[in-house]
Amino acid sequence: MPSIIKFLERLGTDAQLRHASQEELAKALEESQVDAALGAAIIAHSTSADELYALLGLRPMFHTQENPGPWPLPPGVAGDVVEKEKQKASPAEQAAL
Amino acid sequence: MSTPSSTGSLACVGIGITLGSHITPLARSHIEKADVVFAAVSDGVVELWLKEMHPDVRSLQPLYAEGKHRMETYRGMVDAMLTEVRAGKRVCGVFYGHPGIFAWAPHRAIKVAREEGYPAHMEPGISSEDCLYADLGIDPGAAGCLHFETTQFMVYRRNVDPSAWLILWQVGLAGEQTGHRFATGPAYRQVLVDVLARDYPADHEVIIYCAATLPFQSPRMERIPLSQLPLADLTAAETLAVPPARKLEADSEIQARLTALDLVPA
Ligand SMILES: C[S@@+](CC[C@H](N)C(=O)[O-])C[C@H]1O[C@@H](n2cnc3c(N)ncnc32)[C@H](O)[C@@H]1O
Repeated sequence: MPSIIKFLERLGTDAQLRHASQEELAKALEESQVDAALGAAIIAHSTSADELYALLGLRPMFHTQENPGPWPLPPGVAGDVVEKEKQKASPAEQAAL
Repeated sequence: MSTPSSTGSLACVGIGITLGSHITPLARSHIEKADVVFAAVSDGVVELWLKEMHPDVRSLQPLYAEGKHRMETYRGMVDAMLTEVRAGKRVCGVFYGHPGIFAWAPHRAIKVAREEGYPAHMEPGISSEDCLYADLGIDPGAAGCLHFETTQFMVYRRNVDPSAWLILWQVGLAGEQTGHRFATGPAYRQVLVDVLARDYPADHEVIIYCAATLPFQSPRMERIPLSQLPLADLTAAETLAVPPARKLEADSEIQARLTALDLVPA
């Protein structure tokens, strides 16, 4: 496992490290031989992880997994509403499908 | 239910929100024991971590594309998982947070797999909703809590209860009706503000929330007046929490009925 991933897994699992001070984090990073630039991005404790993503060459990922519809779907794209269910449901229920 | 033509199976599991912190022992076991793992996570580092747990992790991210209809992407996820199930594989779909919360493909894949006679199971995970309660110090039982997908909340008439919390998901996509965009802008959010203004004052404080996906991050908890929402910096990851604007209103008639019942000898 690359040392950075191993370190992050440890950070997410260890109650003391998860809420450690910047000094304690720096010490743990030094011991785990994480690259200095990556380590600095971790120590910054920011709300954003953009610096780490940039260093690892990672692009932002897509988040959406839900379609709030029902909207008219383009031809060839099938929706969630099964025809049978659609006929049975009242308009209010259809909105929730 | 039909008789399956192979011994395939499907488990959709949640990996939680924060790397390392939220994965359950059972979710990890599903991942490790699978023949093939499909990944729909929202953070590249989390995906790298997942790849350390299994030699055959296939990212579902390439199914997304700007301009492609989201339903096509989600159907592609279902097809990718079911193709391997039908080929007799033990398949694990890994989704960020909880696999069944605001996530279409896992529910659909499990439904179709079961209809075809394959064993299929959903394993819960820690959702961004769970993180929100912890970070913002909200107990949904205290005054009640309503959850909506933001666009659905806007385009359908819903009963808002301003004495409860209101949680709006996918707020960065507010008003997105085309199905193929991943963000909308201030003008769309102004429409959301106008919808909310039917029940909340313009200066009502709302909270933009984003839980930590990496264990060194701090959660984003930005409090702003409702009227400033259009200009806020939002991505697809944030949730909007609207605190109650009113006290709970007593239903004196029901209270009197219950009191009368208390006086009836048992
Ligand atoms: C498609 S849903 C998936 C939710 C996921 N299944 C879960 O259990 O959290 C995406 C929406 O979830 C919420 N969300 C996802 N990640 C989040 C985070 N780190 N912090 C706060 N909300 C988040 C946002 O409302 C976002 O628009």
